[in-house]
Amino acid sequence: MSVYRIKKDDLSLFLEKLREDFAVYAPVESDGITSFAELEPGQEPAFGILKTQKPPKEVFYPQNEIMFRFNEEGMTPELYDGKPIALFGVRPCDAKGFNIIERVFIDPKYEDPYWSARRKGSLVFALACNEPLLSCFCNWFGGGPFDKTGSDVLVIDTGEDYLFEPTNEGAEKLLSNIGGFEKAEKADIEKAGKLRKKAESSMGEPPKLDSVKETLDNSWNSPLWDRISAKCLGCAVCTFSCPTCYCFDIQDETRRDKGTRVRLWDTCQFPLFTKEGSGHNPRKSQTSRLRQRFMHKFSYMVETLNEFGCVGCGRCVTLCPVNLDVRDFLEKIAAEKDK
Amino acid sequence: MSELTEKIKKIFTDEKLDILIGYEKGSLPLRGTPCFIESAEDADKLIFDSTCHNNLAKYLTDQKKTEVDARKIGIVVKGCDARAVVQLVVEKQFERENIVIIGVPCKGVIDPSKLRAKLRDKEISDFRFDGNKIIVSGENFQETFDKNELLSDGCLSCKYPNAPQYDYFIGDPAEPIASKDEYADIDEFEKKPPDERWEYFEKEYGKCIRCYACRNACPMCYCEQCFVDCSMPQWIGKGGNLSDKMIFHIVRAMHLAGRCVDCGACAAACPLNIDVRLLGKRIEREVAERFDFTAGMDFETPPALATFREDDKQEFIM
Ligand code: SF4
Ligand code: SF4
Ligand code: SF4
Ligand code: SF4
Ligand code: SF4
Repeated sequence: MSVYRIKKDDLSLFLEKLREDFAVYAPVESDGITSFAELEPGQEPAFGILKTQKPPKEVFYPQNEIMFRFNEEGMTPELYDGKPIALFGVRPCDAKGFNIIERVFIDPKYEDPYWSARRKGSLVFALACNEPLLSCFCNWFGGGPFDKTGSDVLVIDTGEDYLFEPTNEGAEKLLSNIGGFEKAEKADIEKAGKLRKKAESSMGEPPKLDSVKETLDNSWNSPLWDRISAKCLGCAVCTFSCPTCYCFDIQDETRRDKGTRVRLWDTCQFPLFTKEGSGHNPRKSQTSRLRQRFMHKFSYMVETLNEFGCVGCGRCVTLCPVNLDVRDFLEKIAAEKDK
Repeated sequence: MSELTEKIKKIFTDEKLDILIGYEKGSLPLRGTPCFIESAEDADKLIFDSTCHNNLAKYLTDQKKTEVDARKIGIVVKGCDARAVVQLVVEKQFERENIVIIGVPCKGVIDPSKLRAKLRDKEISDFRFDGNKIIVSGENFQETFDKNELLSDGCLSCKYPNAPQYDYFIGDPAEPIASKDEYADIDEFEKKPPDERWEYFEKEYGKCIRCYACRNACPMCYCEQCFVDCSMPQWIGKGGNLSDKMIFHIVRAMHLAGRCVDCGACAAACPLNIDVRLLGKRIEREVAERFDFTAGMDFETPPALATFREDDKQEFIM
């Protein structure tokens, strides 16, 4: 696959052309909140934002999604039928996150129509991170600030230009159809290489996590859980903001003789998540609920997907109201092995 | 060893505490984080400064929910936290004698959501206080903020920076910041026409994702089952409906009437910087004017809404 170059000033033209066939989503700031939203004609993405407060998963998997409408006559299904979606400027961690969360919505036996309607035919342009943040730890899980997993094109900001590195033929063809690119020169590639080295080395050495799953599997009743969860508030900040958390609830919202069935984000951190019809709740304490979150990400998902359920985006680290840092937890667990 | 850790060690031993709730350094700059100390030696990690924004009184009801025994719990408190502890005792959430209140002078705390809004996505790696200024720096940038720009709204008009009730007080009492009249924002807001006010609440609460961090961070929201979590019957919809979001915020504000201590823990907890304070502050003023009551000042005065006077003004009853 070749690498292409475009002048920064020409990016808006590229995005305009992309908008002809795609609904283009990019990071924006609106009313004090940073998130991914569909670009209005002429609107510039806010690339200065490294990590949006709200995760881009909501583009493919909205927090509230109508599945169908109903009234006395019957049901009308509702499914996204807009233009295919192009996400421009997600970060490599979030791009990788799509691959992980997707394994739940699409597996060999079952395909979720709501996810697929938005996700099929979509394009992910990931923007490499020249300056990872203190809360970033994508490199703990095999990712990295220039990682291409989950993206169709990796975009690198080299100062005056953007380099576009497609990861598949479809994406390369699209770039050539839209046009406006030059082939990147050796000097460009070298520059990108330097930026990549600098970004990667700024992140420091990740701890060894090989033993984490095994340690966790043997720690179900460990007093460690009480200690770790003592300050946890049991809110939904960490899971709602997480690019790999997928849990949902289904509710009917009715008004007089009509209504909608909606699918909405839910979280294992809420007591109601596991409360049974009888009133019994198998996960009564916040300790057991936090344990579920960490066990799911660092043991169960390793079992089912063969990889950790965390991409190290650090959203939960910065947004958690009590600064319960998943990295502290992992370091504690990793250190258990040496005891 | 600081004065704080030294004194707390002594208190821990003298009072035979089972556990002490305080703050330690967090994993990110300008973030203190709650911690639970189980032995006197452990107290070395305790800190207290403007990064300690959580209201630790929240954990007292938590602890009580899981424990039936009468363990002795020590708690490090700012003025507002202490008022929450007092109010919780008044509301009979735990026995006064099982709690050791350790006051520390508060110079105001930084609201992480304000910091986030100011810095956008720039991350700080270092900071220092310089009089009324906070100088923060990170990769390729340095910025100076007036302390008032980052402090929690409640702190700016706080009248009680020191615990009104305590067993121990460590340090010299702090002067209130009082850089702003307590109800200035409310007065300003009330001058607006109703449509504009409604629009403001629609805009703010419309952003809510109902993560319930505001409620869960609040020391006074301790109901074992919050009305939003009831499923049989279900009181409100869980979806994206604006009216459902509004109901949550309005009912929460009403349930905190005469109980909120304006600690700002709710606003600081919100991941989307939503204004969850204004409504509660308005109700606080109502309670102050009508009942001459300020929550959490002493152990004797009954809660405002638990009183009845025959000469109550009842002009709202037609
Ligand atoms: S870890 Fe933090 S964000 Fe997650 S539930 Fe606990 S308090 Fe909320
Ligand atoms: S667990 Fe936290 S750091 Fe990991 S992917 Fe989720 S939000 Fe990001
Ligand atoms: S169970 Fe919890 S941690 Fe796992 S995906 Fe669901 S919300 Fe996320
Ligand atoms: S409502 Fe907010 S300000 Fe009032 S006591 Fe609760 S957390 Fe503190
Ligand atoms: S913390 Fe913010 S987003 Fe979460 S429920 Fe409260 S107001 Fe809504």
